[in-house]
Amino acid sequence: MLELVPPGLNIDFLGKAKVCITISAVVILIGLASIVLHGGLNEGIDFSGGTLLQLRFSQPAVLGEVREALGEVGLGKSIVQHFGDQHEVLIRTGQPPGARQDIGQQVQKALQDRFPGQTVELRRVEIVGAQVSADLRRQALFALFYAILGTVVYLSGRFEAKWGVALGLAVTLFVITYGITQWFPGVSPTILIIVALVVSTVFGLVLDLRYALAAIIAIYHDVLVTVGFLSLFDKEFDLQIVAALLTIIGYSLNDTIVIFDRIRENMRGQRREAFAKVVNDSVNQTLSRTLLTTGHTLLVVLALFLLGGEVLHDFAFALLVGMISGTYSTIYIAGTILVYWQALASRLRARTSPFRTTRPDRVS
Amino acid sequence: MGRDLLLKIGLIVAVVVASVILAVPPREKIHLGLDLQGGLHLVLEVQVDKGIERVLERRVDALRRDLVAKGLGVVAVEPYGLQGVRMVFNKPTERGAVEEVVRNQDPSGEVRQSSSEVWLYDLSAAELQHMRTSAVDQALEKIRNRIDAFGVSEPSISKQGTQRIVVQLPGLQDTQRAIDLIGKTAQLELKLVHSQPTTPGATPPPGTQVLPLKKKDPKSRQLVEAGGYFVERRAQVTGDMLADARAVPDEMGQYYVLMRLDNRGKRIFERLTRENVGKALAIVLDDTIFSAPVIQEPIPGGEARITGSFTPEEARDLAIVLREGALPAPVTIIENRAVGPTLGSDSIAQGIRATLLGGTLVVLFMVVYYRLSGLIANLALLLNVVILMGVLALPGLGATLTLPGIAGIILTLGMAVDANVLIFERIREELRLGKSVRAAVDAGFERAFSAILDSNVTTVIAALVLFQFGTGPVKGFAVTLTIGIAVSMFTAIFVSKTIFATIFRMRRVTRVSI
Repeated sequence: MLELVPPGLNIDFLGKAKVCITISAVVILIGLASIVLHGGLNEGIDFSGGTLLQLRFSQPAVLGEVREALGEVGLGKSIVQHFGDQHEVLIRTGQPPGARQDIGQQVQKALQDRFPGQTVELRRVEIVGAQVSADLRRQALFALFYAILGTVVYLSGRFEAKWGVALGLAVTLFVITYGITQWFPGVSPTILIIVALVVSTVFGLVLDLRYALAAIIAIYHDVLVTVGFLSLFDKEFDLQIVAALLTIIGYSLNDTIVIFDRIRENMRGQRREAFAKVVNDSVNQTLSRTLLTTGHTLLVVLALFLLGGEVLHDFAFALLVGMISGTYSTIYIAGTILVYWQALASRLRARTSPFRTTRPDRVS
Repeated sequence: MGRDLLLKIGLIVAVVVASVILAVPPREKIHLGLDLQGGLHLVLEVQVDKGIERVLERRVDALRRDLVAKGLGVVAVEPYGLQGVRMVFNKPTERGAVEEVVRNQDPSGEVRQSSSEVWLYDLSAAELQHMRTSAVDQALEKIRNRIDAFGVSEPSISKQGTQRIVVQLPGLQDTQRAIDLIGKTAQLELKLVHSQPTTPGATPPPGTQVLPLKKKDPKSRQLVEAGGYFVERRAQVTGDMLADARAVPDEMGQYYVLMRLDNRGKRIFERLTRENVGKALAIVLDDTIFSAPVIQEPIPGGEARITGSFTPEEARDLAIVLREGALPAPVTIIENRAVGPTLGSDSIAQGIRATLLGGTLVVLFMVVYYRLSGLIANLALLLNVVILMGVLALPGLGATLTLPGIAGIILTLGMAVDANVLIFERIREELRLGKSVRAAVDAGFERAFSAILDSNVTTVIAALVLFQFGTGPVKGFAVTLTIGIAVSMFTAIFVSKTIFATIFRMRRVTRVSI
């Protein structure tokens, strides 16, 4: 029998908690710094509006000459880059002035005139107006908002078997966000997301939904790491990336759920053992499945990254980063947060006796 | 073999056969998105306010005519804002008289007095609303007719929100021509020329406006501005008086558009040309003068031509838009995405290559790691893809396969075997605890179920949100991922469990290759 992880393996994952949290914090901070230094996320035309042209040359294209030719039709300020191979060129420019919907044909003609010896084929034109990009951005943010909301509610219900609480949380969040959109009609979804995050975190703290909260923090971790890497590598942020982020949110939760389930299962058998040990054992016991399931998915994402073509390249890149981060956070971060939370909670409980529960060490 | 088991096998075979029938050949049965088959995706915004302005102008004309006819001493009738009409009289006027004239045009119209000589007629909120919606609906209908006349297979034209229209033209090659055809308002007006401006920026005489004259530059074949005219504000003949328009070649092989007016238009045109011999008549399309020929003699037949050194295609397209009629309000193109056919087929090829590589890697891994059991999982995976294709091809579902959709299928390959991994790992654990093969397998399937369900639920939550908020190609990703995961619950659990059960039924198993 081939085994990736020998049974009975016991790695002290929690022992490296401080190192791991530091690593995560550094990676996230570098990502955030990169975003700040880049002056925000590098938005694709889905979100920023503008024009994107993809042309194919029968011979390798020299970008400098393409730029010169573009200058002659008043598009000298465009961003010009190879796309996939030397034959394919991507041109990105701002909004076409007025109703210039034939910008693609004009550029194609200008380039064809410039390079008479070869054929220049216009392969793709995308012109996104300001109204549409504003809508798409709004929709993307709402998608992130509802995905986080959905998972928060599902996790609270699923882990704590508190479907009533989950429902209450959902209703509260909905009423608050709905109220905000009613009072301030033009409110940015970013604010809504932050409000929802704060409300759900407070909810988790007050009601002691520790598993749900730990899982959610792991999700934030993965999303932040992915977004940071995208910024570091100067990838464009577009609808596909949002799709990748949503997939990461959904997928990286899988392994966390598996581990948390195992922790609760083990808690039933070993009440007297230290919580930290139970968590560490559980991570070890599920390590094989965690690595195997993520491993498979990483294999296919790698295939997508290598052969899926340029259009899907950034999407696959985001998935790769997010899934690796997801596995890492599942193994090293999620359990750690649980343990820290437990320690913090019992210290708090000791201090504020009125909130003492009947079973001080109840963790299920 | 037990009846239960036979039923299960029968169900699996039926589902697979049905999927194969539905999905083969995939190129014909599965609807491809514009990013894969090439084509044009346009989002148009109808400028409903302009449409309302136009309706108001017409109403102003009618009211002015009626008020003058009644001899009420009207000084000015003009639209105010986008809400109604202001009527200024040279003496204080009774409500009854004004109301009667207004009611004649709009039975539900209300008038109110703003000062002793000024009366206001407001459009009701309901009517404004009606104008807005009908402007969008009519624009959609006109655009549909134009596209039908143009001849595109399987066009999709639909309303989005309150004032947007989405047009999707799959497989279209000449996108620019289609954009010109769809985006043109095609408001045709024949207006008498008053004079030519002496200096640019000169103020037009009362009752006239300045409009640019555009001519085709023989070198660049683009329309360029070539001066302008002061023309009468009021159009004598308009596009809605057209009975027909056709593209016709002249003796030189140049194309022009021949318009035939309906009976009313014919009468008006005849009188107009009779009364204005020697004057120039501007042929105005969308506030641009195409030509301004001098009227030589009265024209009784109601035929007019638009010349402008057109190519045959341009003349044909112009004839289409004139024949189908003007849009009730101008539209602006706010999103325009066009994918060439070669890019689409390249994307398909890359998608297939990535799918094959991803599938091969997963299949190899499963066989190497889980041996015979891995083989079973691989069979389940194969069926997963087949059924996924079948569901995609389901006629009632209207699913579209896009490039991110292919990515969704690839991702499904990785996620579907996750279920089997969870099951097999559990079986191994149970075996380690010393359970018999059958007991271990049963326990493995049973115990892994909740984890599988959980992991799929979270992914599906994300996919459903994406489906709700995503657009176009990205929506296709949510579709294939959701279907793929749902199908994997059937194949990875039900199918592979049935295969195990069949093997156990056929022979006594003491060892399991896992």
